[in-house]
Amino acid sequence: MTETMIFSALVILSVLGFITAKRRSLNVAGGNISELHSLPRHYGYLASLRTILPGLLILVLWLLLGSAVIESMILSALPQSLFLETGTNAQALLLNKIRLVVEHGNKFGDNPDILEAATHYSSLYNKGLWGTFSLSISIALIGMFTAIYRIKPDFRARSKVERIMLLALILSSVIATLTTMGIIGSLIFESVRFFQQIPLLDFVTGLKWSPQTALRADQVAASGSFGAVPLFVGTLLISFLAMMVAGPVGLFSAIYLTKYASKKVRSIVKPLLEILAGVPTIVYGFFAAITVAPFLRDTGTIIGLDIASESALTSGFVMGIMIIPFVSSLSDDAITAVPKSLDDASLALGATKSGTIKQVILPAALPGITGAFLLAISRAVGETMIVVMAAGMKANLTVNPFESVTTVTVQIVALLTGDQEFDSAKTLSAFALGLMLFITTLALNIVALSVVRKYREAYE
Amino acid sequence: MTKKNSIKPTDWHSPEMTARIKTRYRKEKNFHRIGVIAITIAVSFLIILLGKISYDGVSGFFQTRIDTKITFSQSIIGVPSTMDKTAFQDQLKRVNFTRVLAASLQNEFPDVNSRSDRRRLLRIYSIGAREQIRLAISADPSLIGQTVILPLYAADDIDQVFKGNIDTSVPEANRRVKDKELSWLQTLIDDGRVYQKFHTRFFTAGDWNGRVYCRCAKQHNRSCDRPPRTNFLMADSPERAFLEKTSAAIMVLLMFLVAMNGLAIWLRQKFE
Repeated sequence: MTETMIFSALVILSVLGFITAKRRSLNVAGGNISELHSLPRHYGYLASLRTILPGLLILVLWLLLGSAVIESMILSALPQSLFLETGTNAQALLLNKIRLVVEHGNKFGDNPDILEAATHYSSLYNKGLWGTFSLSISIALIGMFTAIYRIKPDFRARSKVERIMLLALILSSVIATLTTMGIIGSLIFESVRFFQQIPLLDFVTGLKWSPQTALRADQVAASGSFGAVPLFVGTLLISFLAMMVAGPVGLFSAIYLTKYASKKVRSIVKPLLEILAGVPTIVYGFFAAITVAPFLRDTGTIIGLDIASESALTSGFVMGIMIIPFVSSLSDDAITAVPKSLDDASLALGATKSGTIKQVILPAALPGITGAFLLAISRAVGETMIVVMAAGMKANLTVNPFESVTTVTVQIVALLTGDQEFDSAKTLSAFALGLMLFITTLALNIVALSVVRKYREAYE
Repeated sequence: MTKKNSIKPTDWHSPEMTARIKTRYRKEKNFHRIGVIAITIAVSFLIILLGKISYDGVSGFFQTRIDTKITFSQSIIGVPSTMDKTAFQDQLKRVNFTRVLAASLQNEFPDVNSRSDRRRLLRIYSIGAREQIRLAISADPSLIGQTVILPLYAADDIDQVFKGNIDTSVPEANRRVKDKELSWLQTLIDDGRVYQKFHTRFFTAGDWNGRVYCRCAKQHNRSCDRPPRTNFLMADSPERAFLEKTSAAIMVLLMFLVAMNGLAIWLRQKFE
């Protein structure tokens, strides 16, 4: 008996419930569907939901709580001397030993108490599983029979099914919201721990980023400096360069594709541009490091510019290529959404096509285009792999695009990979950076929204 | 009626108006042109990206082989007739096949005598070549004591030289493949024993790329479990074999992605 078998049994029962309920509803109505309040299949849906939902609830409860309950029962049954022998963290250690014996037999450990506990464990587990099985199946059967028994011509099955569906939808949205809140909560929680060690003002206004914390007190560089300004400047610099590439190219591509291109050109070019969005970022990073960086460095040498192999320019440029399709697709949608009547009116007054686009279409599509740019910027700000491979790790406070800079996300990667203590300022600073990034993006969105609201040409 | 007469109709042929119209048409044309340029730039980015990766990667699907006479000497491998099947297979796992290869090469190049030269001679062959020899004898134990010709894998650097990706005209000191290795390779090429074949193991065995990668890291005193990141600037010294294999791998990945994209487009056009 396994959990999968219980689940399959429930599914089979619910299918049975569906078939019987549907048939019975037809029988009750004497074969005349117009007698019934709801369609026969609604009676079926209701019966199958009534069957499977309570059964699943029992199964989920068992999966969530079952082993915890059994473990606490086992632990309380163990002799006290064993706990004293094992010392600190005895509960977890003993439990692990018991689990090992349960899974692999007595290869691991020959303590008779543990062996006995292991046999006890498996018998309890089996009992629990059978208990769950009988309980969930019987509840499912009760649900099924009540649902089938209550079928009458005036029974409102459809409204009940719809109410259950509504609840399911509410549950899904609650889960999505809670996840977001959980992410923000964990960011804030860990950041607060970080700011207990490093003052907030130092972090926000500090000009030096060197996240080294000493393992021993007497080590060199025992105190790191956590000034986030270079990271944010680097991020903004790279995003700016990326938008310099993607903004004009993407927007004009969108304009051309929507207003000038023939249907055939559009049907070829649009998917081609979308391929750019589908290429994995690691491939862009590879391309940047292997092709673009040497090319820019060598071109720089020829015209007398000193461009580092890992430069903000390289990663900004390649990132720009990557986000062209974001700008162009979304601007495309925004431009297509402008009512045709505006277009026609402007052309009828004698405006040229370009005049129409500049004076009428773009102002009307402004909210959508700003949205497209914003999405592209947030994509650029959050991009990691290209920067890791092409812009480097050195926190450099500069706005010179030819130098190596680093970004917030790259530093988060650097801080959290490898073996880290989870209470050192070095590790915790990753969360503070994440929080700052979140706040920055949020502020950017709010500002952009208010700008859009101010300059939008509303036509409806 | 008098009012109507006071407004003059626009004189479309006045020099002022023709100039205006001209400007408007020029602006229209320029705007159109900018659109075309933008599309061209975007599409050419895609073509450059895919083209460069394919250009680097396509040779990675082929692997240089060297037909080599290998003598399965009983003194190194052991005598299968004296043991049962499984014992012989176990024995094969313990045998150092570098010695088998080295002894066979001694027959091929009798004039290579010094210890360092012999070691260098072995470096013409991939590490996988030993595995090939082992698999050959493991599949057919009756080969023991015989000399057969096996198509062994060439080492990555030799592979690159044969594909023409490594410039052999630079001074020897700046080159990973030394003159001696080149001369041996030339002898083998003159014998018509070096050729390229489709690299099936590229799809079936993944560990070879890892080895190339690790070598990059080792040059820079980095441990092997981590890809080179900060100390090793790929932009400054890309290793040719690494570049080729990675590009080939990316090609496979991109083909899959483009196929999925194509499917998506097809589905959209079908149901739109």
